[in-house]
Amino acid sequence: MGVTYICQWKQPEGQNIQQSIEQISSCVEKLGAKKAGLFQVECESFNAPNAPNAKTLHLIYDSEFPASRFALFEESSFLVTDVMLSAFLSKLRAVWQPKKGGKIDCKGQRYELGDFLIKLGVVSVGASAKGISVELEYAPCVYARDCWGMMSEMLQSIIGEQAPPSLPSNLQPKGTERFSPELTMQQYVEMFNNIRKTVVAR
Amino acid sequence: MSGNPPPIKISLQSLSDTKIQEIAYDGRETFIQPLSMSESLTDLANRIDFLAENEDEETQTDDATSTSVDEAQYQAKQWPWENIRTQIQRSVIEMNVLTDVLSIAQNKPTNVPKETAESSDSNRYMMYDFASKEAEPSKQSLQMITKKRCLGAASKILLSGADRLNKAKSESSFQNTYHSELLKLRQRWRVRRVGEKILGELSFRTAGSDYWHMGSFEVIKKSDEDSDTLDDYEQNLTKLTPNVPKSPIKVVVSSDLRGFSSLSVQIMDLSKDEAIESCTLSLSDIENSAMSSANDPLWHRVLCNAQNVLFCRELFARLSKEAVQQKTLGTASPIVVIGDTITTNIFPKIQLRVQLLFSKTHPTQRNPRQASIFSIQNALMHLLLRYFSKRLNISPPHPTTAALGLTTQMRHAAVHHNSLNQLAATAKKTSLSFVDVLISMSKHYEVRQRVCDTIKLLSNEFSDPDVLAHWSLASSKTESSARLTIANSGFESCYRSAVQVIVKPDCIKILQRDARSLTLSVDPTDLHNYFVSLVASHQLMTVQVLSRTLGWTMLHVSPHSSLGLTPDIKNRGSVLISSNNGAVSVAIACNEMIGGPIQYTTHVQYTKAHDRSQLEGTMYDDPDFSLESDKYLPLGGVWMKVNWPQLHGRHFIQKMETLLTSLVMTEICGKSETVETEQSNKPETEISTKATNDETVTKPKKELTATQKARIERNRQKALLLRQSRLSQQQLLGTKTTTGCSRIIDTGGGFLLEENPDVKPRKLNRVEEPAPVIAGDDSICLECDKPFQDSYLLTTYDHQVCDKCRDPEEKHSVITKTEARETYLLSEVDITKREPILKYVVRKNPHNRRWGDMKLYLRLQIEERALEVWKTPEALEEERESREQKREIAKKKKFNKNMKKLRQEVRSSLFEVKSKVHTHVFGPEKQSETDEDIYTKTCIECDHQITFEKM
Repeated sequence: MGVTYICQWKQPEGQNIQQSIEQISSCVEKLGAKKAGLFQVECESFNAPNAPNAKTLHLIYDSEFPASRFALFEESSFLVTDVMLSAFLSKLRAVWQPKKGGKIDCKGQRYELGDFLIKLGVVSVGASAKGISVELEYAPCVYARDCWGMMSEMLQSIIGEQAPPSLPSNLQPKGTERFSPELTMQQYVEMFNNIRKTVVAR
Repeated sequence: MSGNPPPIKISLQSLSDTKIQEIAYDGRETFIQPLSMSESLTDLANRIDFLAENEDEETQTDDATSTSVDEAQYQAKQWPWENIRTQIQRSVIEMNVLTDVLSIAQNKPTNVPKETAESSDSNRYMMYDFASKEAEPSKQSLQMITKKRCLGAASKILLSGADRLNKAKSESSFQNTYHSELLKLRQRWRVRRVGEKILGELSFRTAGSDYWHMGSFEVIKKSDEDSDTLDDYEQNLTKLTPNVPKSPIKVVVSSDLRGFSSLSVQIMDLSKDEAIESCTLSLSDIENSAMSSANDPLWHRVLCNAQNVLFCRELFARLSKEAVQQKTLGTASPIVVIGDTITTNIFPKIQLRVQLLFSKTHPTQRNPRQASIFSIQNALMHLLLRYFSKRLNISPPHPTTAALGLTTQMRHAAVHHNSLNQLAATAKKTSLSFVDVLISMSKHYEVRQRVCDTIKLLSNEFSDPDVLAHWSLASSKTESSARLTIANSGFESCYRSAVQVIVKPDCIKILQRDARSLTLSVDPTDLHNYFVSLVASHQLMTVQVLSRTLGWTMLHVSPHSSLGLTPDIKNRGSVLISSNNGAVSVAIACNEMIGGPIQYTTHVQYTKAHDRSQLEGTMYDDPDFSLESDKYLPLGGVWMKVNWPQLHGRHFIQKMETLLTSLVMTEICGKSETVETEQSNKPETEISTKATNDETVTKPKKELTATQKARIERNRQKALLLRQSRLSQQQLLGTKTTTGCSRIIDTGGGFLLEENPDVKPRKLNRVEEPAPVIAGDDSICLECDKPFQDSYLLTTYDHQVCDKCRDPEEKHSVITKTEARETYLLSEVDITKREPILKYVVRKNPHNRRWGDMKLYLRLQIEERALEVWKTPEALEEERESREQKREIAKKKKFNKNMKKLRQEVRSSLFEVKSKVHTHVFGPEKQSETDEDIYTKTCIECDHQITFEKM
């Protein structure tokens, strides 16, 4: 469980998703990474229409944590539970109602390169692919600041200019806290939201 | 008698009418009931003699008849009409007699006297005779026949009775043995009665097995006919011990359990196609020694065999199931399961083969050597038992709402966001794979064998340093270690190298003295190479230490030089030393011929002119070793090669010592300017004598200053002292004794042998066999499944949980005895007497120090005990509720009772009004005697007296 950075790969003009995926994966494989199975991240959003100013609840399943479910309120509390949470939420249908088109998922190939874990996924809502996500995890370290140099170097070799120039603010937890899956999930939610917005804008 | 006796009361009492029938021991009398009216009437009627008068007449007329009739008369008392009948009978007889008399009287001749007339025609006469019945002779035979018949009938009855008795007796004895046998069977096997049948079970289900086979058998009472017939299988069973006691019980086991089964584990060398090691595992082998004996009845053997078959099958089923699952995970070498065989290659060309053997006939006796194999037997058995116990003993979860049978770690996995790798690691740790254990054990066994062989080979190959291997006894199933010590005999105190060899299933780890650890592959050549380099470096190190002791200077050491001059020679290191004034340099190189022993090539260079006569024959110019080229110029002059076999000494180091000392000697002697003749030019003479005499003399080549000489002398003395001390130390150690010219070897066994120069000294070969692998008896923590030595819970409560996993707040909390009794409804006996007795910790009573001690039990164990007593938590709850209800009912009853009592006490109808107004009823007035006016009257009822005055 190390530091994870997630970003959306902005595909260049004139390329469809399939082509871009192939391009990045060949790039990753050239670095010497080895395929290590598939991964999947699912996110389902819930609304509470009865409560006046309730925040959106995101329920996330990540294949990296197969036994856990993550519940994330927008910009507030965070919950780690076992697999029964979704069943529990369906019981609370009176309060929490699934958002329309709130289901979004990300599937793709998982690569291992030494201590790095690279995941290239296709983000899709329903059956239509919306974008490409790139996830980079550096396993041995739990402080983002300490390993950011190495990670940014790695990112540059994968996604080139799209790599962030400095430590992104969302990787920086308050104080000197350790990196936790909470931050990973937040990044996912942010990315999913961004993708949704861009899709709507189109 | 006195005149006036005191009056005595005499009571007259009628006797009891009824007769006493019997008086019991306690004095009670039993009466015959008096006759009723009708009965007494009939009795009286019986007594009436209707013909009493007639009887008197008759007796007077004829005496003869009366006498005969008399007897009949006595008997005729019972029947009311008996008398009449006898009278009639008598009168008939009299009539007959009368007619007889009359007829005789009619035909009587006149001349013949009445008494003696004997004429044939009219020879009738009369005489008195008793009218007794005559036994008729004609009826004798008839009587015999009837008697015989009667006897026959009686005897028949008797015989049939006896027959029946016999039969019953034999029946009962048969029944008895049957029942006693059944009892014996019941003592060893689980048997129950289902309807008419007696069914039993021999599976390991109660131990925790989940194998599908029920293993049921039926017990049948053997009838007489088939008691002696045995089928082939049973004959096979009894073959070994023919004197099996017969038993009236026969057990019927399903046909697939009738046979002999065992599990064979073999490690095969595929290149030679033969088994390196093999073992067969069967329950009966283990049982044979412990449980059964030759006198066991047949049924026990049949059942034991059946159970063994079941055991082998279950074990094999588990193994094959896991093997098949393992295949999907993609191990390096696939595990192949075909029919009753599991095979896998543990190493190239080495195959592990597990086979389930089953035969209807008794297997031939196994080779005892083959049977003695590593502890796979025990390990597999142990694993199966652990699996069983894991299935049976599921500790109750804390908190109680959690899922059953999960460890704390597993429960927390989801909430502590464990990642994929962590989960996989946990799953691997908790899973109990038989195949994995089997494979790693056999791998370890094989590797250990290889290490052992290599060490043996090494100690045989190198005659020079002694190699001692000591196998540690503390070994586990998959890890064992050996300590390897290398030393030169006689120079042990000089230098000794030791390494620890740890044998693991997949690698060999080596810990060196310098805290470096190496990991070698399991290839034996790898290990061999390492050992060779180890020996070489040991020798070089010893040379270094030796030369330092003798005052030489180290110029250059290289542990591993480049390849030798010829490619088939491997260099294992080299040392360059020079004497302290730099006159002589010695270069030693350890070379290993490929496939040959280590060679020590040594060159000596005299940088200064030197007398060489003393070491004549030991050195020669090496033709191969020419340093013509310019680049060798810094190496200086000529190098001579030392001829090792010519040097004196038992082994390399000793020879080295000889060489170095003699070189120094010649040098010193050269400096000391003493001109003498050579005393000993034989290099074989004793070093000690040489060292002390220092009379070897050569001509000096150069003059020295006084200070130089003094330094030389000092150094010499120092070297001598060092040497002396070392020698004396050796003498003390007793490893080598040097006296005069003869050398004595201490054999170490109490004998001193004189050295024979022709015979090479026998080398010590002290390589031990590794100790047998014993599965560690470490306790295994129930929580984390790791072995541990000792823990608080184990010592105080016998609960196998290590200190790390101990959770004193929640899971392993303690409970006082009183509380335990109340909460879990346990009796005193359940806690203190029931086996296994629970352990507890004694603390002072927190309420008052003077009260009884507080006994703290482990809550977990108390809960277990409660489950043992109440079987299920529901039963406990039910019992608690029922007790609660009972208590309620009792309370209510008591309350009602008290209420009733109270009500009765206050009931108005029963209440006696005590304060009734008493009206005095006065009697007659009485005038007082003293005062006339004063009268008194008294109440009749209550003696109340009123005094009043009448005016």
